[in-house]
Amino acid sequence: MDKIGERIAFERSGTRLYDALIVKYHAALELDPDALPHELPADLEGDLSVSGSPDEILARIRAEELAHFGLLCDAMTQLGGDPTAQTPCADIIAVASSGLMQVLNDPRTTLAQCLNAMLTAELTDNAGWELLISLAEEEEQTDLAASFLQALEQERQHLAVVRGWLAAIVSDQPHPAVV
Amino acid sequence: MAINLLQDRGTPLESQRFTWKELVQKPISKLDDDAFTRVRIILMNGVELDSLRIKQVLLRMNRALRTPIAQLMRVEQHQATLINWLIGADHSPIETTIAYEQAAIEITASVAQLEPDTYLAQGYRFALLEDFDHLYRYSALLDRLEGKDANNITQGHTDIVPARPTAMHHRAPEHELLQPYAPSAALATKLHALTLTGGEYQTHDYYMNIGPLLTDPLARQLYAEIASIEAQHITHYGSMINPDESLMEKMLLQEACEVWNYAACAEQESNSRIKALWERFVDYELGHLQVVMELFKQHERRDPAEVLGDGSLPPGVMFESHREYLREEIDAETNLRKDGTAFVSEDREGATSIAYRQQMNKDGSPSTTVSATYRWAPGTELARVVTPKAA
Repeated sequence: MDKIGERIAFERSGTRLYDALIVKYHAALELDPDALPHELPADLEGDLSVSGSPDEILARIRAEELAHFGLLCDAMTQLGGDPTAQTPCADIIAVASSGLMQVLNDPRTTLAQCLNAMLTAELTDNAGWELLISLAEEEEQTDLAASFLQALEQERQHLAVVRGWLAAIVSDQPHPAVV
Repeated sequence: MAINLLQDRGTPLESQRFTWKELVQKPISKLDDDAFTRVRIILMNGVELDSLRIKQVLLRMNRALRTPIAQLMRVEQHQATLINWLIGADHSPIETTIAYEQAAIEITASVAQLEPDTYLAQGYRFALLEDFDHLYRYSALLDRLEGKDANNITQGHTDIVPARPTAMHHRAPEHELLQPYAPSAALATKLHALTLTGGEYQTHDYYMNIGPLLTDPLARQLYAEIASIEAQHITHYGSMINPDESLMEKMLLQEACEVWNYAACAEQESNSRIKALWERFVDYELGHLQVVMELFKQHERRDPAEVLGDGSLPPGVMFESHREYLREEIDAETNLRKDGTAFVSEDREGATSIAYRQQMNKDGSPSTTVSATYRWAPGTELARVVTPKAA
């Protein structure tokens, strides 16, 4: 349950990080509309296919982070825990990720710098879900493990989006306004 | 056994010693210790820092007392360090801010009820409703910036709802002052004013230090705005103190104030390790009081009993939730304003305050923006919008 508490905290603050990333994206657009791709790369990583405008994709990821938060709150309640409690691991993950919030909300950081910070978040998020799934399987919570696996699939896409977008911005004719 | 300020000798100053390791002890647990343990830590750090502040002023103004003042300050510096370092680093600056506002609310609510002077009691209730609103504004910031529920810090003891809106707290300096207590005021009255002045000073200084460490522009503005109000509160409470007291008398009262506060902490502390610390510092402060009483006799040729009465301590701060009291006060007094040193209805507020406020809020009000549509919900406001099993 401590680990579910950790993921609750991370998905909730992740939703807030995407709120900040959306603001950052719009600020970068205002600064120089030509500096950013209008479409994200269609095939980001192997079989993970994501397409659409950055705006739509960011809004979708933000909604999924929020939905994962809801899923975890449900799981915590189902196991007899309090989803509003700050568990020890939730407390520590907040310390570990406090720098991400600082980077995302700083008006002086670029979109690329923020995507780099989000890469840290998404890598941690993916590993966190993988661990949670194995813990659920160990405890023979098969329904939970299955729903966590669905969330992990979405998190893999989030990671691919962030990684691909960051690579595209920094390596393909880097533009000073966003790098 | 009841403490007597005139008779109990405490630990002699020369026996009050620390090591670096002792100064930096294991912090309290953010998750397991009671919120009021943290409230007491915040309070006593503020009281110690204010004692140091008073003594630094005295040091600059009194040639004969420089050495004993320096000796007293050395111990108080280390007391403040030991206390302040008990706050764990897993508190984010905004979480610590929530704790500061909770401390301000619950301690002021207790003091307002203990205060025998009805005018000054009104003064406590007035600023109390402002700190109460600050808690709500900062809770919105914590929720929206870090995705955290402020109730994990307040632990259900303190409501998170608006009171007098922060945007309305900005007053012209001439409307910030109060009538000071008379020389003949009860000892309790003097100790209350000193305690709250020290507390507000500490809060102000904390916001001035951590405000610039945040990157979010609105967070930086919010800290700037509320730090300004805390500076007003220092003036508000500080102006309760009789300006005609001698400097030595102020030092004597400050030491009594420390004994009084540590005694209340020791009596109510739930963490045995911290309770032992409060008890030790009660004895240290009684030792300081002995030194200052002697200096008072030698240099002012006055009897400390003139200031401290029969030496018995007035009833101490109650470290408990004052929810019902606060709800009544919010209903009754949120609309109060200031005109000079008087508390007045909204329509009679001093004109210069209105002009000052309009000027400061001209480009927007950070506290209003940060909390737009905010309503506290268990587990953050996002918990209210998630659809179960949505993933």
